[in-house]
Amino acid sequence: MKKVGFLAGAALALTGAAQAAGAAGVPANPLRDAYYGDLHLHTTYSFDAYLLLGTRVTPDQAYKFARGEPVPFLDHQARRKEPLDFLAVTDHSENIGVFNELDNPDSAFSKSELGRKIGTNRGFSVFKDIAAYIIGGKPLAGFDPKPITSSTWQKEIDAANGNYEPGKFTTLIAYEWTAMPQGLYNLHRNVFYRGDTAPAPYTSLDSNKPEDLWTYLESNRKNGDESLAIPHNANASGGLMYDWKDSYGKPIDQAYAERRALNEPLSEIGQNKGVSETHPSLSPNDEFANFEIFDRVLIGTQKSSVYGSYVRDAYGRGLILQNTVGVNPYKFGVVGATDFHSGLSTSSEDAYAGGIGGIDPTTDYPNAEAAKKALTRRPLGTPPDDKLGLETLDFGSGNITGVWAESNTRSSIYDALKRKETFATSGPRLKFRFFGGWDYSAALLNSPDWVKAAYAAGVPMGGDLPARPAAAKVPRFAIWALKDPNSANLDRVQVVKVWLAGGQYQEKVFDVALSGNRKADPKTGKVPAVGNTVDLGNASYANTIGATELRTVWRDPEFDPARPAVYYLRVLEIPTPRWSTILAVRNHLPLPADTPATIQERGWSSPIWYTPAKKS
Amino acid sequence: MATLTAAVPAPPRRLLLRRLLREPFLHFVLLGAALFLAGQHLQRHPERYRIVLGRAQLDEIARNYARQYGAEPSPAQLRSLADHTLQEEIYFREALALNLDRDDQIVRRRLVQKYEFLQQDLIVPREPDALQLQRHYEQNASRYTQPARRSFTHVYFSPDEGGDARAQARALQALAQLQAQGRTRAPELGDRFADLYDYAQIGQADAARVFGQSGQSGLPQALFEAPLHQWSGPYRSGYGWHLLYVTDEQAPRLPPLAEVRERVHADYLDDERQQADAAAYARLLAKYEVKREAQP
Repeated sequence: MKKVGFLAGAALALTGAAQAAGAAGVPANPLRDAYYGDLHLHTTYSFDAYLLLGTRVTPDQAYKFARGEPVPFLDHQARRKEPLDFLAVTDHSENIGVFNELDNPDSAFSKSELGRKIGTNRGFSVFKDIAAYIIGGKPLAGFDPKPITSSTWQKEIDAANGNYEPGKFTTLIAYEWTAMPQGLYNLHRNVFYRGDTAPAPYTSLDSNKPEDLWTYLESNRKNGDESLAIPHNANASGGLMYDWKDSYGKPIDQAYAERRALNEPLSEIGQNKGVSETHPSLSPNDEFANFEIFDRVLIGTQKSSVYGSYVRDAYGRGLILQNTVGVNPYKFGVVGATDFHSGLSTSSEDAYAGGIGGIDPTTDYPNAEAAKKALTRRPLGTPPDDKLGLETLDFGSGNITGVWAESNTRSSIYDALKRKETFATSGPRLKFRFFGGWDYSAALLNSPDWVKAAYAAGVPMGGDLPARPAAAKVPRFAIWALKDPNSANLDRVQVVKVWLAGGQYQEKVFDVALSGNRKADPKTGKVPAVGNTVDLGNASYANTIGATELRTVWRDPEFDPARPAVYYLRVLEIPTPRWSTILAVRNHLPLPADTPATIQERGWSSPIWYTPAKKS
Repeated sequence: MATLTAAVPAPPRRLLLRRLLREPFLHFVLLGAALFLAGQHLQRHPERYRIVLGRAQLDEIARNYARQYGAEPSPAQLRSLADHTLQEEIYFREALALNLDRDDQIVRRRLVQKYEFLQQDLIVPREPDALQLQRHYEQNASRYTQPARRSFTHVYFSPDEGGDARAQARALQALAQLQAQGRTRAPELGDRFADLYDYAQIGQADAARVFGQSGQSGLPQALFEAPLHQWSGPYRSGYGWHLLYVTDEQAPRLPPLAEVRERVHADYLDDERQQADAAAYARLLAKYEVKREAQP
């Protein structure tokens, strides 16, 4: 059987290459369509997926699952309810594929010092020791992983190329660089290639400094291998992700800012281990800030600093740095991802039941015993003095990335990522457009051709407002949002504004489009809640409140042309049951305490930036 | 006399094999295996320390280089490649002498793979005749059947305009009007829809992606049950209520064999090969006495 698998893989790799060449034949929509995908997923070749979950799903199977094909999972077939448009498998590059050698007790790795130490142990008991080899830059004792890592990397490339079907399904060759300074703070980056070839991946054993990763990417780029890096879990970075300083403790300078903006045009805003938009203590006036918060480090129970760990804060810091060093290092757009380690990418609340993997809910839904475990608030680590701090109840279902691209092809999707015409959602396929300009008329969105007009007279999400015409007083934003046809109605659309005032940044959330006939209280500015149709008894909700579609042309009422500003969109659904509620109800268990029973799923756009014209 | 001639297999007879033979990995495996065999040969002969690099070997090195880089190597490059090959051969012999090939999972796997390839080469499924192909196509018709497709225009009624019940009622009103007027397209009778008003030849899976497929949305199924050339509905999608006018239908279609011959042919060979593989393994297994001391 092995042979058959190998042959099929080789044949696929070749068809993939042939198809890549034919990508030019795919029709392109100049006004762009929304495509949805996952840019962060682990398979059996990631040490932690293999050791913690016993994941057997290969990259090839992960792509097939994302495309909607059935794949073997545990003792049955698993299938995604609705196919994704794109996927990038991002296995940890450190010792990629090496731990799979433990499958064979006679393998050289099983017989190495470390292999013997691990033996047949699996799960969290060995994870912490092993983690040192991945994130601590420690070479494997008595074992040269090179032959295995290179052949695994080739398998990753073949799986990506073999599953790329221009116009239908896009794959990107990718990996995760797993830097974790002091074994504590998460500075991980995923690296994505534009083409169908890629040099050997960079690892945290090469260096755990992002600057060195950029040097590597820059030299790849010179050789024609275009790539970009996307940081994730800023929430668990202890303030290092969006720091004022570089990895050497020196204040960020212009060169650093330029390189960061060039190599890291995007950040993950949400995933399995928390949402990194903002934190209630950073945004006390934002009533929706407390959403899927995970404010600890990833390994251990230590709290992660909120400062320098969240996207909104980074946007403000970026404006300050732009003023002081001349370039904004934090001028990034957003993506959403799962970071699942089961090889199965899913993003709906019912295709997740705790832990670090997606499931096919029709075949894999946990029984009462497993559900009880997942719904008990307890650190995952054992024994008690060796807590990993990962409380499953605080984990969330997967997030996804939306891109506005001309076609579902590698070049088109990669280029959308590069120009930040992206958005993220906490799971549903919300669809929204966000344009900034100076001349949009209030009636713009009534025209059937409004998208064309909006592109012509302004910039989409991820862009810079064009230079302000002398006659223009305030920027205008064309905003349109559509519900996911398989999910809940929309509550509201908000614009989050961050701006610079006297050397500090400030933030404010504007409600710009509301469902129903709600109006903001003229005194407090607060909008009444949309309501709640969730029936906690059977974990259901009804779309009897909220809107299908919301749209508006919004003018910033507090615009000051002298102050740099960042604007991004947040789209909220009406309340729906959280995964933990669905899991409890399906197993006739009580709802877990200290955990929200309902959530308002949401989408975030990449921002539009305003920079005052330089006085000459 | 030891030589470094790589075992170049007989010209490939099948497409798949031909593709495989272009794989650098396979070259690696084959070259490794050849060196291994050459090494074994050496161990049994006194010429362990004699190496002859012949014209044929140099030509082979040059050919490999040209295949990989698209240009002939310069004399200096060829010289350096030959030196490298020589060093490799010497290290290889020394490694064999130290029995480094034993207990090495990688070597073991490569050898197993090599055997698998040889086996592959031995099992060449016979080309199917017309009748066999026809039978394979008929027995696996579901693999080749294309799902039904329909073309339609629709009128959309949004719950955002006065609520869901009202949208449904408005749709019913419009339905009566359309039926009386005999019109076949009228998006303006309803609300603005975010996607298209006219869809050409879409399958149920595509319709599900546009209109939703769970909870409220029954439209993708209804589309394939709706009568042709008349208005029907209203049907609920994930966005609201719709009236449909189906203009065209392509029933599930089993393309004639001629249209899918290439795929059927490849599938036939694949299936035959898998069966032959299994049979070959069964024959080998029968030769061994296997004692299982514990059931897995």
